[in-house]
Amino acid sequence: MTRYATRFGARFMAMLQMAGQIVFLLLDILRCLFRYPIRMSLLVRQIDFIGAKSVPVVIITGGFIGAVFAAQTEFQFKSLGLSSGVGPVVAIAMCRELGPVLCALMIAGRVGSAMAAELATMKITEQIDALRSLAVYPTEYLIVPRFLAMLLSMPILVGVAIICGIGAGYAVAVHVLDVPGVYYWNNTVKYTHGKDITIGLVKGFFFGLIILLVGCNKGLQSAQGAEGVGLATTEAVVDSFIIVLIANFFFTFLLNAILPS
Amino acid sequence: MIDSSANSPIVRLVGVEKKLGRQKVLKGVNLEVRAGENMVIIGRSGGGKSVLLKHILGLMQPDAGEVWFRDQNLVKLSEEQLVPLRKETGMLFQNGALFDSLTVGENVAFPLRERGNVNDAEIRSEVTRALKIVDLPNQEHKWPSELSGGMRKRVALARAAIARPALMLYDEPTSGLDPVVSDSINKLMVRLGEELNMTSVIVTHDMVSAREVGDRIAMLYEGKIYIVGEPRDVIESQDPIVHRFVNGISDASDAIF
Repeated sequence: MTRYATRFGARFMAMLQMAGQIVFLLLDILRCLFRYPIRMSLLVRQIDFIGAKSVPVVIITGGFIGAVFAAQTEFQFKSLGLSSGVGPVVAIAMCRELGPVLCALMIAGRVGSAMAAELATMKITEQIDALRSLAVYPTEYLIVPRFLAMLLSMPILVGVAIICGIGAGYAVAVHVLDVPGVYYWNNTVKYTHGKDITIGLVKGFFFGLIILLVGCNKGLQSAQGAEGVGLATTEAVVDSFIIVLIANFFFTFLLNAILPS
Repeated sequence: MIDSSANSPIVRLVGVEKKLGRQKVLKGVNLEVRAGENMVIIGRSGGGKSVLLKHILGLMQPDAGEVWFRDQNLVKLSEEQLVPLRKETGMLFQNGALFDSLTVGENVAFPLRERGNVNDAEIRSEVTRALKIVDLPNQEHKWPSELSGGMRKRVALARAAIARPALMLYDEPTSGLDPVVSDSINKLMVRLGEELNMTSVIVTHDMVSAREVGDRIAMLYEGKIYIVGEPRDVIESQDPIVHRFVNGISDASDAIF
């Protein structure tokens, strides 16, 4: 019993510590943004890695989720004679929940893990110390370009996922399940509003922030050795995704209060 | 201490203490490095020599004590305030610590590009020259992962020295290298010191290197500076601890059965 309590306590303390580190990291990044000129070449390289190279996985994720969601909805709605209602259901689900959350999952797996692994390796091979010894502030050189690239890319990637989901949903419902295309599309446009898309993009922005901060923090705080790098990478993905899922719950209510439907 | 008034200290450590995990690595280190000299710090592996070196650059902060560089106490400065001071220093890391996302040429050019007041053509010619000095001509386009340990160290040396720092720190410059490469690195360290009027602090357990390069030798033992002096005085010292280290004689309790 006591052992259980001790373990729980240690976990809780570790969580608080991580929260503190993340807050300090964010403040440090914001300070660097104003104090140093932005390194364009590094920013472009990060946008390429975080944004451009993620587009294929995001297209696949968004497309297939939209497709199966449209199919499942159609199977249920058909018996109620509401087949043309599938469109707005798919569109709103993609915009508000599925697009941002699943996009965040893919980016956490692809980018968050890579960031943690790269920074952890740089730390254990003394490259970060080398950077400091060469009179460069690591946050400014390593983290700020990743931060900007992530915040620019993530809403766009979520947008791509939403578009692909809605498109694939349309294709499946209309071409495979024979829902009348005109009704489907008219209903989609009629019941999907700008604020649904806004909610998705805003969520995407904050999920990107979470993935970046957790990934960079795990990398920078990594323990020594190959095991440390491995652990940092795993924790970066698992922790950031758990935080995204929990944050999503609160964002849903918060954004619904700000932009009531 | 001999003749401490002639050269003012560029680095001064006062009562530096550092604990890593549960182990107290430094237990009150006092050391002065004079401008222009090559100070060699010897000591057992794992005895805190690298940790000591990192304190001089402010890469680590002591738990207690003061670290002075010229007239500034590094302990009182924030990480960002340390940045300008580090423009005057260079450090060779144990395994080179080359940036593996940059080519050899970009690594060596890094300090010059950061300084920002040098144009591309000058940078290119400086890099070519620096790589020639470390005996790696025309290797600009290789990646660090394609180099051997010794080559990596020499590239790292070129990177650390290219901006002509006033103070150079070497962390085990010759460990893991064959005797010929070791000798070339020793000669290079002496040459850099003389030509560019650098002050060097060299951490090593290679006595050949210590003898060849050092103007003074300090021995770190049990977290404190045990002896400081001219190479001859340290090497010929009759103190049992110094004698055993210098001549590589293990204690009965050190033996592995």
